[in-house]
Amino acid sequence: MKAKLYILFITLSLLATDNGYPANAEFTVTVAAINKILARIGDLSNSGTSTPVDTVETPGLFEVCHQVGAIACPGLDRPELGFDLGEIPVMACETKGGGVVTVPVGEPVPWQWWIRDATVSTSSGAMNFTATVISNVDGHWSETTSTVSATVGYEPVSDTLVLAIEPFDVHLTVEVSPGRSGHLVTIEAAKYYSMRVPITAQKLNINMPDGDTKNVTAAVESASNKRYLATEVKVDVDVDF
Amino acid sequence: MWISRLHKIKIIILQILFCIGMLFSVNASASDGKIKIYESTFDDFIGALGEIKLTGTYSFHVWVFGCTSNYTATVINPKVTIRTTEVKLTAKADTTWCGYTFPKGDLKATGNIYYNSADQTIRFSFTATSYKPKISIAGVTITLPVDIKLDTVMNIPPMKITSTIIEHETPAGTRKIHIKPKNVSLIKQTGYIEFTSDLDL
Repeated sequence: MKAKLYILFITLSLLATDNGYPANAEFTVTVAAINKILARIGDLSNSGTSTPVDTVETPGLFEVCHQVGAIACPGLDRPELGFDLGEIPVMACETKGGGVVTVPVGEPVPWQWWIRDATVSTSSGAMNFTATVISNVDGHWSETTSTVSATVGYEPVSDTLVLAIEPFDVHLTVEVSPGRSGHLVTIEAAKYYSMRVPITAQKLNINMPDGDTKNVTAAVESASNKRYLATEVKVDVDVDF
Repeated sequence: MWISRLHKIKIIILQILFCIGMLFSVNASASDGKIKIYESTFDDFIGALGEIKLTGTYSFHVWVFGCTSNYTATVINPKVTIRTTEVKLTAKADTTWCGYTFPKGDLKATGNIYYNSADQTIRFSFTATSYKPKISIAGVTITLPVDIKLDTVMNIPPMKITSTIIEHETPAGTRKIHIKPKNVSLIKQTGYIEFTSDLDL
């Protein structure tokens, strides 16, 4: 019993070394505050016209495609769409593993998207990001709501506080022929709501008693022990002088 | 008459309940963010200043004993203690003169850390007790002509709380949002100061 108490006492003493606090500082931001910033970013949108790339016939084959021209097909007039008459666009696509092939693609298709209701929430010691992507491809509407994980971190190289969100991609496609869809654009929703906060080091000029001036710079050295609590996120911060 | 008294009591109870309700409603609206800065941060800061020394020359002559020499008083073991009522700076003065090592003297300053909303700075104000290094040699007390006061020795300048910028991507490129602190408060707790603020976007 005595030995157990002694071990307990030693353990408690070790825990209570220094001032009993594990870091120089503790930074707390409420979930409501993060959501306030997300609300300030607000709804984002984009629109454009893209040529569909056949993703059914050649799934995962191409790395990247660039439009290089068109094949004239006078028998394929589509004046109602307002595109070049009787022409099928052609793309040069870099294939995975090397090489380039030219492929015919569909006609340009107008698209629009909006990202709405971006929020974060915490539960079970983790943080999640939720948003809704609404899109309109050639008059067809769709809506996708997803939840992905998010983290608060610190990048020492750039001295930046980061809200990192796991990828949340929505692919806009169009039917190029029955049973075959063509890829238009990928909406990287998470990318737009990931945030970076550069931290400015505090520079202090101290007048020393000998008449000298010492310049001390206070900068964040590391951030650790992130805690995602019910209403707030806490991070321990070490400051280097 | 009794009905009137009962009515008054009812009103008082309602007022008390209202005040308690207000207290809870104040607690419910927490600040957007807070930073706790522990004593260790201030200790590290003072440590970063390196050795703090006061030097000079002193001549002392009495009967057959006399010496003219440089003296050095070094501030050692500085420590910041934060309590709810005050902030305390303590240190020791380690003094040498004419080959003699003086008894270590206690240095102390008490004061406050506060937020000055007028210029958005965290400020330090200390009042220190003065210490003069003394030594007794063969019954003769020698006092060096130097006043060591921690508030002047550790003259911590105000720290500016500035706005910050958040960067994020949009389909049109990178956008910057300026964030300024709002409703700032700084309170002292045992072992740390707590700086709270709302975000003004």
